[in-house]
Amino acid sequence: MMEWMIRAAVVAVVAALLASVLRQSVPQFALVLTLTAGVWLLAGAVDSLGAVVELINRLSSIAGVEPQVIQPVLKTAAIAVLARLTSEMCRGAGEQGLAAFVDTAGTLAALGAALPLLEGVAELMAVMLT
Amino acid sequence: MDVDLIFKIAAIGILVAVLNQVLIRAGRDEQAMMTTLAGLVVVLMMVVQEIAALFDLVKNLFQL
Repeated sequence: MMEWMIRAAVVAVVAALLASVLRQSVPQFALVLTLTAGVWLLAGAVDSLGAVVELINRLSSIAGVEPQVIQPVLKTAAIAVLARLTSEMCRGAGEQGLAAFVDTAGTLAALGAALPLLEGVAELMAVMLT
Repeated sequence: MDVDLIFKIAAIGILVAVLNQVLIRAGRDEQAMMTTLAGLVVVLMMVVQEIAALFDLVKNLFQL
């Protein structure tokens, strides 16, 4: 993990240098280069994320929580990360308006993903109160 | 995903930038823009496959 992080840091710095060189003449390529470097970094980080997700699942099964409860939480977290990265890329391209739209869409999508949880809570409260 | 892809994209970007400058100085602005667009299309085709692979990986990892 440490070796990968060092490699990732070097790759990120080199990509930032190359993007700054390209930005002067062809700024569109700087954006695509940043996107590619970001995708490479995410692809390397996803490996360690798998271990974290497995731990979460194991803890939830020990605690006696159903897996259906954990799914919306993970989906909401993934939607939040994706929306944030996309809106920052749009801002880097100079499109603040588009970034605001992406943020709003991410908020609505996260609400929609968390809906099953809220329904479960409402049903539980109805059962407890009656 | 390989690190080489990043360097390939940077190399294509520099090539397109040089061609851009040459064509603009020769007075062919529309050809310069077409060259930039062609380079962008090539690079995007390379990147989109990697993005699709990343999303498949995340979906399989989380079973979302």
